[in-house]
Amino acid sequence: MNALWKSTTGIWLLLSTATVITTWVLSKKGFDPRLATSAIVLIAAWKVRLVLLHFMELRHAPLPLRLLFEAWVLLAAGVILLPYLLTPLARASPALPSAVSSRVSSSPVYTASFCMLGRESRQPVKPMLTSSA
Amino acid sequence: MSVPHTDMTDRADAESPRRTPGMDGIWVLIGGDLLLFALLFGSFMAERMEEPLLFEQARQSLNYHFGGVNTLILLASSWFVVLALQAARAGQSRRASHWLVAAIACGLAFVISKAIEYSGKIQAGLTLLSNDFFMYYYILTGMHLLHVLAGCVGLTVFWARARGDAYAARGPATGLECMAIYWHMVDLLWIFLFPLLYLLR
Repeated sequence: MNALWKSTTGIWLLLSTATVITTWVLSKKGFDPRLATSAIVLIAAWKVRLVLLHFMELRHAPLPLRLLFEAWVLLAAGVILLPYLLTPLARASPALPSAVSSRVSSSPVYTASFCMLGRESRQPVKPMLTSSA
Repeated sequence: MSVPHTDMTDRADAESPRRTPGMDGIWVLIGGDLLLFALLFGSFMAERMEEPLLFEQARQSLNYHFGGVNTLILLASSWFVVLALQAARAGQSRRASHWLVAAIACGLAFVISKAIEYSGKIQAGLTLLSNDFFMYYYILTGMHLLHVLAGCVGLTVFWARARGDAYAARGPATGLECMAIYWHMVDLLWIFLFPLLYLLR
């Protein structure tokens, strides 16, 4: 009983700490958006797995049931992460669209992401329009 | 309470046999719910691929502090339900009822926080019909909010049972276990929904 109490409390502290890090640290502009966002989604998947195994007690459940729900975690993380990585980064600039767009298009992160997706080189971005040209 | 099985009361024990928590039915219900949400995550992401700039601009109009605090609230609530279940299994019915009150309070805090967030958005003219992002935002968070509300009602029912000394004997508390599993699912869905809507840059 004591060991279980300690471990579930430990899990809760772990989950809360991870939440604070993803919400108030990794979301900051200083981090590379691709890396930070991918990390945020992966950490969310890891948190969900902790909830399934420790709070929902699937770690003591028959293996097929446990694997079924762990597979769902992979599915959910996959349907978020794969389309995310296939979508070009969009730097929206609600306040000053035209003034900022030139700066945005020359940012290394933006250029790199377009190169990664096989674009020829830097392309000017037109805010408010899709960048799927 | 039915006859307590000593081998089922201490699930932390590595020696104990594998068992399905709660009842089979609850896992079917939750599995269906989770698949539906995975489908919605996928269709949100497909829509986002079509309009990355619009989705990014709309996302930036959300206040991620709400989302982060709401995640912490639900995590605490889940933890309180874990403690309530442990107390119920140990035959401490009153103690279980106290943890359930804490869990319900967190659920209500989530609902109030969402109400404040929604009213702010609506006052700013951002509604279900504003654009595709906000359509998904309201549908996903709205469906989740309904789950939270249903959970609060369920937790209140179990709180009343615990107050009535329903868990005075040591042993498995299968009903409360099912309730706990459902409540953890509500928490788990928000863990994905929050980054999906608020944090994808």
